[in-house]
Amino acid sequence: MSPADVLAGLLPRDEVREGGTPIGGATPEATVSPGSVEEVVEVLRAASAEGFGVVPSGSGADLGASAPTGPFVVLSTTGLKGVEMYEPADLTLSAQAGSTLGEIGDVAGPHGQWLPFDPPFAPSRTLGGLAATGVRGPLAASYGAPRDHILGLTLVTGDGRLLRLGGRVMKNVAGFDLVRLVVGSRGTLGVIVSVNVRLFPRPAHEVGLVLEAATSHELVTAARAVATAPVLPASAVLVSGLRAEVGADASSADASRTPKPPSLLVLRIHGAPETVAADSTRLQAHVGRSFRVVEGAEAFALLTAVRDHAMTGPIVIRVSALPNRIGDVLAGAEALGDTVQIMADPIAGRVRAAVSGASTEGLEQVAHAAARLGGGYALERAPVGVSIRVPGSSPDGPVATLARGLADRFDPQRVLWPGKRVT
Amino acid sequence: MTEPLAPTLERRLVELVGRDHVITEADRLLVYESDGLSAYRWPPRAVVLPATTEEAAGVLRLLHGEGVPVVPRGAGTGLSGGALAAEGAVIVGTARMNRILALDPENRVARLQPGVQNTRLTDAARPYGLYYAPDPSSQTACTIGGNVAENSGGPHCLKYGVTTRYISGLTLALADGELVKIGGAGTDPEAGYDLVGLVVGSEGCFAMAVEVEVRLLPLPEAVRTLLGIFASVADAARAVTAIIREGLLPAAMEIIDQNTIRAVEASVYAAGYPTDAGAALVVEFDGTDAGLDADARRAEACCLSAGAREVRRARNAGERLALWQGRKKAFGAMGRVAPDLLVQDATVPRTKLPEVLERIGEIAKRYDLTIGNVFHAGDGNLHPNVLFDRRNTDERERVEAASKEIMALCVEVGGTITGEHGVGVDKRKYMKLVYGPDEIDAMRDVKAVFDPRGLFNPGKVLPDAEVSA
Ligand SMILES: Cc1cc2nc3c(=O)[nH]c(=O)nc-3n(C[C@H](O)[C@H](O)[C@H](O)COP(=O)(O)OP(=O)(O)OC[C@H]3O[C@@H](n4cnc5c(N)ncnc54)[C@H](O)[C@@H]3O)c2cc1C
Repeated sequence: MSPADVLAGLLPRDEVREGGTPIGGATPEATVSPGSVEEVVEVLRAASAEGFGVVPSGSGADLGASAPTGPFVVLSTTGLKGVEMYEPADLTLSAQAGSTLGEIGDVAGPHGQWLPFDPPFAPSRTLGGLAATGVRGPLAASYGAPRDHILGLTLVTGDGRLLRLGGRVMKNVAGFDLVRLVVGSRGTLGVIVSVNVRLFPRPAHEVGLVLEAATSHELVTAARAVATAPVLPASAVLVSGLRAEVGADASSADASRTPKPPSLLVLRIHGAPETVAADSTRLQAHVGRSFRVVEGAEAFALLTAVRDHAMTGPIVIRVSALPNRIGDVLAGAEALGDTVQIMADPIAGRVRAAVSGASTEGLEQVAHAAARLGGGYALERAPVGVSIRVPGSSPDGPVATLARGLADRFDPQRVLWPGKRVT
Repeated sequence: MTEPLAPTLERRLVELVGRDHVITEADRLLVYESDGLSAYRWPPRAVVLPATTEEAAGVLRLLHGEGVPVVPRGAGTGLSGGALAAEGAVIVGTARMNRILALDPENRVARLQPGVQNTRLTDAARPYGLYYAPDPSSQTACTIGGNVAENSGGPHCLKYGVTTRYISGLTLALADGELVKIGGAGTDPEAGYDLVGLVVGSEGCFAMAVEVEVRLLPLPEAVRTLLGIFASVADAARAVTAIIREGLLPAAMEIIDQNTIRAVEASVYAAGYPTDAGAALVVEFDGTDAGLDADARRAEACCLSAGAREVRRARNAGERLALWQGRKKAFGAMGRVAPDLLVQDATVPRTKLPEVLERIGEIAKRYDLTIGNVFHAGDGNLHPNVLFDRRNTDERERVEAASKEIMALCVEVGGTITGEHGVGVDKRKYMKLVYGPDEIDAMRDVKAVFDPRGLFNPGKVLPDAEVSA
């Protein structure tokens, strides 16, 4: 029996469809969206018994560039929706994994609270996907990463065990921290079906501070000054290749239009109005430059455009290094071609580049340069056939051995993300 | 009494770290037979004190070769019996691994050996305008390695988060002495499993941390400290909830109850808290000077509307220390009131604090015990401190029974059995209150991946078969 037939016998008809969106060029046998945790358990048990693969998916925004091997189905969590518990006075919320960050924002907003996570396209991402990828946006500079605010989660392991990990309280050291292991494990340990998070009071006032230059190179000194300033902004981002009419078309990798847009260093400052004013003054004094101040709808549009920038080329590469090497990484990324969009976080020491036509060799050069700086890199998006070899990383090394050991315990048949090397 | 080390093993350990640093004499082992939790006394077979990563790895390799279990130990301030040697274990202490290896203000990270004391790190970072945020009340004594193992918190973790947020990389020595480097500043935090996050809080059950990389923060420009005086802990807890509802995020919110206030005021640490008060609440804001007065005013209003009879505001650094004094010296002062003090630790949803505190009071009354509460109220992290005399068997049994009820109560309202002190030996018996068999099996599985032979810190965390000294 095909996986689709097996699943059709297990789930309601409208939750199973044949085929689905290809991942790294490989087409799934079926796409299922279970409507309950019990159904997720059923799917994983069936997969472990029948030997087909399962790729867990949230909004589908961030499934990566590598293809699963062998027959597989996509398990979408979008059928698991809804806030299960929200206690504003405790600043805690629990929701099913398929709830989007936008939906959670709608629930928490009226109470003056929010989730300070701003990965690209944040509102459409699911909470489960956020937990599974652990992906950080620029606000991580001041708020920390999702892993710092996910208090607990429920996981269905590869072999269909239901694990309730962590809890709903702010501080919890009861037992080993399996929540942290699962956050960022990208679906290789199990399917996250619900998540408990800590919320934050929404700041009363917010501005953007913008510095402009013809090239990103000219902004490196200012960006470094921000990263070592005595006051942390909520976030700092350096972008290049961002069109002025950002609101209309933030995602275009088409740079055929001239002239080349300027590079921007955008700082986000928020808090009480008098704090925002004082922080803005202090930061500008420390950097020794005066920034343009944007507020209100303009600030919102700019911060959103910056957040989502450099995500939509055919190739998206992410490079990390120590923050004081950001200039070198930027230079390497800029050299990938004329049509590069860049989004760099000088506080985290991260650079994301979207390129319309880089060669594998060009990408490897950037990657190797990062590795020499002690950093890391990942291809977030690539056309089928484009990949980068990771120099010096050994599948027999102790870290890979530990990672494999962990995956074997949570997913003994290794049905999740078949073919993916865990690290 | 435990079996002495085999002579050949002892000789090889001595060759590796030196005679002085292999402790086997009963009188010298005495200091290692318990930690901050005085109820247990388990003498180790031996204590070995390596000075470097290589020595630590070598010591583990030798012990592994003989199948001898190992307990890593920092300063021994842990409050759950985590650093005790069960089942014939040898303690590998980090007292000599106390060097700050690198301080990198450009990237705001530092690399250190695990035996460095928490405050020493902040002292070293201060000249660069930086500090290490997690500040356990024991910070002048406890080590970074211990903080990593326990995922320690502190009063200012309400705003800044606990240890795990500030550990960016670790070098581990596995049971067989293999060294593994995980994480590290500059590496991609989204690539691969968060092994650093998994190891932080593992209570020395996975591996020994032989090198720690931490993130540093810029020192806040200014602070404002308030002390609210209340008729009851319930009122003080309501003020805490009101402050959060107001949308404020103080750096710290700490409550000290009447029993504790009286103990402090009767001690050499007297802080000038009114002894007829039911509770005191310390609220501290930090950050940019400009916004702090407004924050403090709003918090003051929250305290007054929750029934505070008085709110004091520190006008200078000296007054700030005075307001904090009662909180900082609480454990010490309580410890003087009776021969023994059991510092309990649990977390509840913040809104449940008034109810839980009231019920803890009832439990104390029912078991005829004195319990003083001093705790991280902003996080809902309670520390009911139980006074007792270890030599009084009946009292010890009542302490045990009351502790169990308190734990069950905290879990019942949606909380957990430990917020920062860890499970150690003491709370293994409560693990089943929060986790089912599948979760506990999953934890056991994960330990086995790091430590297949089960040599690291046996008898801790997991509710396995009974252990003994
Ligand atoms: C007065 C007082 C106040 C306290 N206040 C707080 C507080 O505010 N917040 C808080 O969280 N805790 C507090 N504690 C508890 C305690 O100080 C912390 O748990 C601290 O982190 C323990 O550090 P240590 O160096 O003393 O570790 P130890 O007690 O020596 O060991 C604790 C655990 O860590 C393991 N360990 C130690 N070093 C390593 C290493 N290098 N590698 C692997 N495992 C290791 C041990 O095996 C053991 O399981 C307090 C304790 C006291 C006595």
